[in-house]
Amino acid sequence: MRIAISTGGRDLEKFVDDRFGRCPYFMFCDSEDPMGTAEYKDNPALAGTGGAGIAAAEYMAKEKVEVLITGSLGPNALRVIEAGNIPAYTASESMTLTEAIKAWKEGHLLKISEAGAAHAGER
Amino acid sequence: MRLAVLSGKGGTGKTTVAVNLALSWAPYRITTYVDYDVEEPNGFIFLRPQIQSSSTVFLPYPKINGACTLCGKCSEACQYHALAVVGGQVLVFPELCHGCGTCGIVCPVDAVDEVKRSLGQIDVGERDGVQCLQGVLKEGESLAGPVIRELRHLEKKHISQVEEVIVADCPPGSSCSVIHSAEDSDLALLVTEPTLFGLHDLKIAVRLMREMGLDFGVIQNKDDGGTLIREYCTQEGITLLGSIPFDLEIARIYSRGQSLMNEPKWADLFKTLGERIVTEVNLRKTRGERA
Repeated sequence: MRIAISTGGRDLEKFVDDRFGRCPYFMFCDSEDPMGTAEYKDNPALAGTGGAGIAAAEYMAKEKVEVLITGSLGPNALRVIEAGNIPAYTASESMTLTEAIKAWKEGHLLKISEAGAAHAGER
Repeated sequence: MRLAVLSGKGGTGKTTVAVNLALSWAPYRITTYVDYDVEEPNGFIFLRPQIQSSSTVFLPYPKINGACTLCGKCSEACQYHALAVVGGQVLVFPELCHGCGTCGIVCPVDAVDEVKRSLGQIDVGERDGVQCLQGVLKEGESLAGPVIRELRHLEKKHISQVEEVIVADCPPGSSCSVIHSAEDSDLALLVTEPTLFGLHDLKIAVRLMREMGLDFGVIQNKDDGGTLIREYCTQEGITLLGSIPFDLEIARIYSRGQSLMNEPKWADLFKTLGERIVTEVNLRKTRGERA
C-alpha cells in the first residue's frame, strides 16, 4: 500500500512531523518495502498563506496515497481526506518514520476520526 | 475634508478623538462619522445614533454545477485553497473564499455558479447632526476587506458637499484594513499615548503614512506632561496637532459610554483641536497648490 507520512527530514530515521498542512516534507513509500521505495517530496502547501491543510490533503489524493500517517488533521483537512477515502492515522512526534510504519503495520496507531484544532500547525 | 483617525497601537483613543471631534464640528459643518474598525466597531456606543437603515454585505463564493468534469483547474487557480477536487467531487470552503471569481474564469465548461453569503452589515444613522455610518464584520469571519470596501463605497455616495467633514475612525494596526480605511484622506490624525508601546506603534504608523504619501499629524492622548512623544515629533519634524490630558474625569465619562461634549472644559478642548486641524488641512492645501 502506498503510505505517506508528514516529516521534518528526508530519511527513514528522521521523525514524524505532527503538523499536516505545514510539515516541510512528505515521505511516500510502499508499505511492503519502505527501504527500497521511500521518496521524499516538498510539501506544496507549506508556502501558502491559508488553507494549507486543504491543499496538502488534496495533494495526498493526487499522489494516490492509500494510508496517511501524521499528527492530527484540522477540520478542513479532515473533510478533504475523508472525501478522498484515505484512512489517516495519528503517530507521535517521537517516532521515526521506520517506527511509525512498523506501528501502523502492527495495528498500534489510532485512526483519526475527529478533527484536531484548526491552525494548529501554524507555529 | 476627509480625516482618517488611526493609531498603530490599539486603545490609544482613536474613537474618543474621532467621536468627540465629529460632535464638536457638527454644529458648524456637515459632519459624517464612519467607523471602519469593522472587527470591533465601538463609536456607536458613544454616539448612540438613531439607526435609519441597515444593509447586509455579501461575498460571492463558488457553487459547482453538474457540468463539472473534475478537471481540477479551479482548485489549482485558487490561491486561498477554497476548493479541493477529491474523491470524484469538488469540495468548497466558503469561509476561505475571498470572492475573487478566478475559479469561474478558469473553468472550461462553465461549471462554476456564484452564490453569496452574508459577511457583515452596514448601519446608517444620525445623532445631533452627525451622520453616522458603521461596518460590522460577522463574528467568526476574518475578511474585513469586503465590508470596509462596501462602507467606503457608501461613504462616497453619502457625501455631496465639498465643505463636509468626514471623520474616518480606522482600525488599529497597519494592515490592509487600515490602508483601505485611510487612503485618499486630506489628513491622517495619528492618536498616540506616552508609553513605550504607544511610541513603538506610532513609529510604525508614521512609516505607513510616509509609504502611502499621506499627510499626517499626531494627537497625544493621556498626556502626562512627559517628553517621550514630544521629543520624537520634534526629531522627526512631525506636527503635534494637540494633546488630551491624562485625566480621571475623561476616563470616568468614557467608561459610562458618554461623549465629552457635555463638559465645557472638554468641549472647548475638542473645539480648539478641531479648529487647529482645519487650519492645518488648509495650510497644507495652500502649500500643495503653491508647489
